[in-house]
Amino acid sequence: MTGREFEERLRLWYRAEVRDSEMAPLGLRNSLAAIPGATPTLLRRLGGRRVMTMLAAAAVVIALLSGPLSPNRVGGLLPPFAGVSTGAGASPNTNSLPAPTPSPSASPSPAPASKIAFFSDRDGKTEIYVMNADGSGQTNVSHGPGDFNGSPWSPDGSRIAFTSDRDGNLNVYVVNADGSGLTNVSNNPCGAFMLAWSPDGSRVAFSSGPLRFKGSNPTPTAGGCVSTIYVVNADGTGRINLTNGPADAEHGWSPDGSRFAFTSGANGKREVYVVNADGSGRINLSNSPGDDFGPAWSPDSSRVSFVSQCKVVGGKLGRYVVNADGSGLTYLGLPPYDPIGFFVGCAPTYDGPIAPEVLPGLSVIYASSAPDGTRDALQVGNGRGNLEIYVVNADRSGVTNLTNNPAEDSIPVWSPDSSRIAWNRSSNGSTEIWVMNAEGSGQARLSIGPDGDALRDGGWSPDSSRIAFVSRRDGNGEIYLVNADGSGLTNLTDNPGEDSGPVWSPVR
Amino acid sequence: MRQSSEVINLADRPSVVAGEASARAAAFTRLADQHLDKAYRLARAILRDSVEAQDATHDAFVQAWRKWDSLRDPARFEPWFDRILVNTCRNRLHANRSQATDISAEVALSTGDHAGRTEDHAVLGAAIAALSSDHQVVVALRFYRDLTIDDIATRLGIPPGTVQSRLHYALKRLHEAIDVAASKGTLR
Repeated sequence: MTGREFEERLRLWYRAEVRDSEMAPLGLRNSLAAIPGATPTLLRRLGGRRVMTMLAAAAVVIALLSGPLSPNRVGGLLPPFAGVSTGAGASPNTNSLPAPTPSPSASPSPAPASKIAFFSDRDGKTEIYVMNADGSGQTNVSHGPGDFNGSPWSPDGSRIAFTSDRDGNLNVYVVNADGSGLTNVSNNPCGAFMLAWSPDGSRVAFSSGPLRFKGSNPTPTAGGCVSTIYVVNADGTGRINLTNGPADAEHGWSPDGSRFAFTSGANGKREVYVVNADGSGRINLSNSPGDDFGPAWSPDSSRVSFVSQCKVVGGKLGRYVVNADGSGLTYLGLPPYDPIGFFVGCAPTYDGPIAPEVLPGLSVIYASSAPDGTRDALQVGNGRGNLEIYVVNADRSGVTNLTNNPAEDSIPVWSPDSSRIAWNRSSNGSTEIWVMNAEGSGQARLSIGPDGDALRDGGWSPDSSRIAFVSRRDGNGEIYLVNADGSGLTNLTDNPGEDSGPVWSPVR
Repeated sequence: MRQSSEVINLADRPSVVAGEASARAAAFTRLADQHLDKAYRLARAILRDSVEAQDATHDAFVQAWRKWDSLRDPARFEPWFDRILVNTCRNRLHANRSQATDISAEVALSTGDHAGRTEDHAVLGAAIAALSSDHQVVVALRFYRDLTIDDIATRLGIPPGTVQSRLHYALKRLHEAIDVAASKGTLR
């Protein structure tokens, strides 16, 4: 099971454990109204929820005796509160928030073709917005709750794909970057997640079902859903069940868009397959006694690499590469590290998330490969609370601690041109964004955020000149933009809502 | 129309002018009611027990009322309250754990005669329950609430790197437990 699959499995576990439709019990709701009336001493003396529920029940009786309840009330005591101000004099009515008015304090270098997708709850629920890189043209494109669940932008930057459960099931929606043409393209009662745009932007692949990895006859869900992978045209037409289940997962388009790699556990163990984009020509590439997973395409679409567990042919744990027709299987060796421990329990000598000979006594918390594939940046912990940023060459040579100081250095993010790394540095309760050259020189602080500035993947602009990040320096999340040399800091969103998760469009 | 302030004023603080107090109380109860279901579900996700979740949610709202004057912007109620709620849940988890739990034993106990999906669900639930309270909280915020690392850091008042570390070790432990269950044929 790969890290992403395992994370998706956890999400599904929580969705089964706590239904979105589950409401707080009425007794708990009624007890809320009694809370403001009781002094702290009384609350302590009376203790927990059950006594407060009794107090609330008494209040309900008084209210019922005194007059009718408002039709707007939900579950009991609470009246409508339109026009009620707080003690601080601020209006809590989020429906009357002013329209977003970006107010750039300095103008970064213009790049009008670049856009940024982000989340905002300025209208009361978390939705997806798109804006120009100067903060202008902020537009709600999801028109309802949405989540990225994969890279949202189509390869040409003209459309966005996201998941939403607005109709009760998790489905894939595609919308133009200007907010027009919103379409449910998956339209699938079995759910949809792990989105992937085809390289030409004409189609979207997604996983569906309960996410199972093994078993020739795994138990379907109540709706008869099994783990399988669909491909659909970006306009919602031409949906095909590409892999047919029942235990298919982990998928990826070949760079030329003609084929598709995925894993299937239909034979009781996981194997790596390729299939043509129309569902024909299915080939088992790995075909070993153990579990095989983690398929990745070569840039020319001719080969696929994958990871095999300890029972593989030849008995070697690690990554293999094979031609896309199944010929020429070659052992590549152990991966240098594995942030969430794919191999725990499989190879006792491989204890921990990183090969001991690479960084003895240390753990890799997070790893990020440079876009050019030559190096990886690692967030490394020593088990005593200190975190540092390391780089290591792809062949595991040249391990270097780039930060080496008592502050907590975390979340390295490569610039698209692989020349620089941005990261978070935390100390004394403050988190700042720093940037350095890939070999560690030229370290510079880009932001000072007393309530924490946060960086994440997707923050670098496509031309590596700017960084978008989230700051709470004014009390709520805003998306800021700064040039990579630290100049031109700009609040792009500047509204009372919570704005987060900026992802640049791929267009330069 | 009956206003809730008339109910709330029955036991209002004597030192506070009635009108101001009722407005404050009204604002609080309005926001509390708006966020109640979501708060309860988060408590359910963290504590995995409906009674515990009810008590934790109630306790968190009591604390929120005591700290009501520290909320500068009511529009930011949710992250402000989430921080209180998550801390309350964490303390309950911590108090309910008398000693460190053997994650393998928990998983083994969960694998009985159940079949298929129910068993898988129980195994993963047992593995989550065996995590430390700090780890359970970050896992729930990440995979139930789908919060980003920096959003979790804000909720918990800790640096993003610490969130990343806790998540890493929590996932590693869960992975170990699931791997053990899979090797015994109790999980697919």
